[in-house]
Amino acid sequence: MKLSATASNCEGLSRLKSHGFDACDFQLGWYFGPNGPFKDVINTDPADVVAYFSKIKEHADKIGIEIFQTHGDFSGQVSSYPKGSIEYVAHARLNFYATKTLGAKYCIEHPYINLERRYDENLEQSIEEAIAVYREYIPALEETGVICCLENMHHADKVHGHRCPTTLSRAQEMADMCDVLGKNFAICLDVGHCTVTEDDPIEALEIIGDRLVCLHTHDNDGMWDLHQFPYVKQGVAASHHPLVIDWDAFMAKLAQVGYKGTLNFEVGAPGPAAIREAGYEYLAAIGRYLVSVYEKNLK
Amino acid sequence: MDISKSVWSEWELDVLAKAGIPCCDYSVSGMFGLNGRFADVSDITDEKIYDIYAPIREKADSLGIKIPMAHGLGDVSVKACKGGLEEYVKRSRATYVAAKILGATHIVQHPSFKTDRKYEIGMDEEIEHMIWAYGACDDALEETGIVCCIENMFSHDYVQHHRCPTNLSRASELATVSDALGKNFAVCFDIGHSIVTEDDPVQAIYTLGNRIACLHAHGGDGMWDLHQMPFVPQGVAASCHPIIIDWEAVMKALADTGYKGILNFEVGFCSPMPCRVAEAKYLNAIGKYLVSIFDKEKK
Repeated sequence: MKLSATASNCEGLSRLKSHGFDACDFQLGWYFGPNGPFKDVINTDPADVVAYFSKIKEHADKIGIEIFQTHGDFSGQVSSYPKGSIEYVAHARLNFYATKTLGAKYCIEHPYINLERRYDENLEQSIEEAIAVYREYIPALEETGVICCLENMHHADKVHGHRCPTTLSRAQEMADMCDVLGKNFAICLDVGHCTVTEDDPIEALEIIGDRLVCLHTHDNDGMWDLHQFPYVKQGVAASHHPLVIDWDAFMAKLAQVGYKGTLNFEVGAPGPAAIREAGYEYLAAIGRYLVSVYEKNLK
Repeated sequence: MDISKSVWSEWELDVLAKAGIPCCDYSVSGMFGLNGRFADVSDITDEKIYDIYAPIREKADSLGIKIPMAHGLGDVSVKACKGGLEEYVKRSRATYVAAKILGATHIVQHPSFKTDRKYEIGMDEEIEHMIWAYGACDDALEETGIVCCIENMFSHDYVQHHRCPTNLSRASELATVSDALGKNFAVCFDIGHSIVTEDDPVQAIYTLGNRIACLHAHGGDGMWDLHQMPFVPQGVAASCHPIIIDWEAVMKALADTGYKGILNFEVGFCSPMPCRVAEAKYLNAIGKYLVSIFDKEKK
């Protein structure tokens, strides 16, 4: 199992490599956002995207790091795209071209999130809407050969003042949607999102099974999506919530369900620049430990 | 300013040495607490204390680790001692003897509580009690040459369900009690405790000035006493509470007030055993960064 973390440029790739990471989840958000080189996604020629990302791929190859997966830039809220489906499908299409160019097989795209979907309210409608949006990606997925990964998300419960389940939060919903969407789709389980929606990540692995191809691994207090390092001491979760992540059990279960992807941390080293390198060093040590637990449990 | 980490067990000294952390705050609290090795207070003799702590001192010396401070009695109040004040003083003295053997000049001792004080309720009576109980230890401090550092504490508000102020939480109260106690006493300022009691650590440092002889530095979410490393991303504090720790401002305040002690992190290991040297190295890097701010501000 390769050790991975997020990076968004060549410098980030080099940093990961220098700390012993073998792979990365490349963040595409900036490149297709309002300050990026491809902000006009509708009029961008995919050939330009290919030319641009080829240079990043060259760098990755040169330093010996695999770009195993990418994170697309769809926010999940269609309202952010005033031109409607033509705009967010154009985003996704360019995300897939970038993904293919970077040598990755998987691109994680958030589901369309119906903002009226909290817990199981508007469940059927929200599922239909998410499926409809994902289906619009299929021609671009066929063109590029990239697999689009569904990710479990969360929403805000404004009454209770914490995060809550929404579209795709539940593992069964992810598995069902993945099956409906077919061969161009798979699943990225966000381990940290599980706990903020009070879902058990270990149970989720059991349900998702071999649909799981990549991971967003991080920790939190069971209330907020904090993207902390694993093992950070928590207060709220222990007193209010039943779920804290049992990392050893999680890694053992990954081995048991035959997971073949990387251990990807969706975590940046927090704090000032002066302490970041030491932060990545510590993250890599945690990663090596977790990978050793996985390998011990492989039969 | 030397970097230090609180230590609760002898094996941690090896980890500190490997991580390059030169000092520690060695806890003798459990040993002399009501449920510790010396639960039976009549069992305490200086010879036995020597037999326990001399080898630890030897080990620290061999690893090149200094022990400038120790952590003495924690949750021990006069009322909890069957033998009353006499037992309280005997237990306190034992911690001072242990501290001296370890080479420490300062010991941190939590205040004695007369009642289960929350907020300002019964404050005057509690101040009188603390001065009486700490003051009774003066002869033992004089005998051993140890300076006793009083520490800001917290209690639990069961109605609002979070931590709340109690004895010595407020900087002005720490200053009052410290001044009343005289030359054998100083202040250990606990930065993490100050935010769970909604006190501003920067303001507290300016209020306490040169009474601060040592530190318990750690981060938290503003709700729970988490003893996290500085710079861990937080959720709750940002949304519910006004106070998060501005570490750069804390270091500036320490420099401005002429602090001469060590930067001691009262942070326990939270990662699995194989990751702990990396965890300590990360803490050391955070320490070096904070010390660099202190040094810059001192000029």
